[in-house]
Amino acid sequence: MTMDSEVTNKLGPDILSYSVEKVMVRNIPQVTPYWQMRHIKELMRIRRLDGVPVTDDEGHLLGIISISDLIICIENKDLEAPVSKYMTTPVKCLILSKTLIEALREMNRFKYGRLPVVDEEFKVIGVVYWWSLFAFLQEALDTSMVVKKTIPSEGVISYTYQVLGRDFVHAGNASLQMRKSLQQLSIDPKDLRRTGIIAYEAEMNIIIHADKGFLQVKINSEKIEVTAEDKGPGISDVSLAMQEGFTTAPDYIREMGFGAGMGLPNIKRNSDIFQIDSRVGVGTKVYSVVNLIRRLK
Amino acid sequence: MKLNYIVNLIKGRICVCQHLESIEIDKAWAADLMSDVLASPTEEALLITSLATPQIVRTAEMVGMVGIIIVSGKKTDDTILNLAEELDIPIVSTDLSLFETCGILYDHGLRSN
Repeated sequence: MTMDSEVTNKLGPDILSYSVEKVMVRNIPQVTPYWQMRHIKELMRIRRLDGVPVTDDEGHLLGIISISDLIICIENKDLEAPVSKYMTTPVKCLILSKTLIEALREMNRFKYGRLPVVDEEFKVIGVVYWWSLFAFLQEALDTSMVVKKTIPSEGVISYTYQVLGRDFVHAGNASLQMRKSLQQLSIDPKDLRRTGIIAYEAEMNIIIHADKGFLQVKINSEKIEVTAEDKGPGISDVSLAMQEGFTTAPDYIREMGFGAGMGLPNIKRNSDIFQIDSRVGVGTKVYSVVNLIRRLK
Repeated sequence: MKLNYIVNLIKGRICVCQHLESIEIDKAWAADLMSDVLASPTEEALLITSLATPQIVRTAEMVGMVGIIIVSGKKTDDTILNLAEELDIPIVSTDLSLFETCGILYDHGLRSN
């Protein structure tokens, strides 16, 4: 059996050519050289920033004040001093048109923890912090890992998506990506909709109840199979969980519009074949089949 | 019924949309639960909701909704708006309540199915 396996994720060649805009932190307070250092100390403490750019009244970049500048000032017991006395200048910065990879290189080369981002008039519009870069990269790695496999001899294409428990920020991402992949095949919109609902409900179940799991979709010319498998608490009474309105989701999840106890019944309603296998303390596996209205070529 | 006509009826504000007048709406569905959206029998409908979360945009996309009205003046942050823009789903916000919004649109002939 020949098998092509291809891993695609947001860390593909595209990601590093994104503009620094994607990772920069906006709404950084405008600090001017005549601020007192004690105000900087408070600002850094409250906003948990380890450095802020210093600008003139029009917002043009003049320098940067970092935690190490602040330490020197505190050692000198000089908190009444103006920012201009302690700020680092001249300062390295990034123009908005720079890419993520250029930001990474600059920060790594000079060991900077932060770089202000300026527009063409040299006005500060944000700051790239090491942690904002880190968060972006981690998120890209974590949430959108997609493994695509093709088994030509069997005429099967499969996509597998990783799903992380409690990750409500990205809830639905795996199903959305799955839908995008399916849209490229000429699947009837009714089948696409049914498959989408099954995948979304199954993904939400993993996010609400489990630690982690995966969503897999297999397509051949006649049917789509969706498998959602998780490592989680399992379901002690499956027939109860299949009843509409039965839920074990906590209130905070229900407030977000999830956990109404309609998930499993809704998956079943949209499936031509539905199987559920759950073991308490181990996890749950949901398997659904959607028979295609139109055969795929 | 064109989406821009609906916006006028409910005194809405357009948050995300490129081509309002080209979107034809003939069905609508109101829900505050994601499962209710997913269980909606209607495709290509307008979703009316008081939830302002990114999931509502993803859910709408999954079931093929053509637009979202967020009622009761709920705040829509950048995450929602960016996602809606990426998925090309128009978002309209109104200060009217869910009940009033649905009432007005029903009165003007919009149905669920």
